[in-house]
Amino acid sequence: MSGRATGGTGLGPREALPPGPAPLRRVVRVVNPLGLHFRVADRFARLAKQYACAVTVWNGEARADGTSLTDLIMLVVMPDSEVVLEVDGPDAPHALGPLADVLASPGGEDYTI
Amino acid sequence: MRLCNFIVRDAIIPALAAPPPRGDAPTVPAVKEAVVRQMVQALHAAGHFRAADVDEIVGAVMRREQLGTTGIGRHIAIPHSRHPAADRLIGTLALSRDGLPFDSLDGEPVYVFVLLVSPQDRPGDHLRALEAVVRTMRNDDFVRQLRACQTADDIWALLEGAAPGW
Repeated sequence: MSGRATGGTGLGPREALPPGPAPLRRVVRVVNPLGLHFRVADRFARLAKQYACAVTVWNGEARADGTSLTDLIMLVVMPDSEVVLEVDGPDAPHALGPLADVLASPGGEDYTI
Repeated sequence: MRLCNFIVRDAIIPALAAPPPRGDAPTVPAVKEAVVRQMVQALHAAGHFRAADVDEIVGAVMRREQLGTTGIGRHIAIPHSRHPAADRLIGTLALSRDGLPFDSLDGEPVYVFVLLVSPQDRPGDHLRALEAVVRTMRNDDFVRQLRACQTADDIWALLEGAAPGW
């Protein structure tokens, strides 16, 4: 869903690859009083693009490509609700914490605009 | 939520006026402010917001724009702000015939603008309206039809006829 190339391994068909580590998941409470609003979604998508792993955010049954601002906006994550962050790929362990921090951040922003 | 639930029919702008020239070419912030001002003025002319609130709302939208562009790509922008002058979420839609620079995420000019102004204490409505705009504008056929509209009535008829989630 991320649409990013996985790069050539020279190993041939995907079936020939050894199984990788399982996706990492973390439940995150969105405490921002505006919910997962435009600016937070934009910040999250920009950060997600810096990692090679696939980044997915689940809001109930709805899922979003974490690198897509518009996907994230369409999740409609309300204030004080929980989402599941899923990262899958070689740098997933490094991505999980920083991405979760963006989702969980109260922002310290100007909530009036 | 559908666009016709919050877009003010009488504030729709079928063809934005070109931004006033400042020197050789208007800067992107100047273009943005010209667009936002026309849209907020249209809401005022349609009976929303006092004249005294117009400058402040334009300023609030522009401050929001300075925090990060609302040009989401695919020729669409959603400038927005929360403001106490709004007692409910309202918005308007404007078309540019020639496209305008808006610092869009994909670097492309913007032809379709949806301005949202919402109360400060209704984040849910704001999130749902953003979702409605994004979902609707993902439909290339809808956007093509929208950009072909010549009058505010054409635009309104298209918005009313659009199925939820279009």
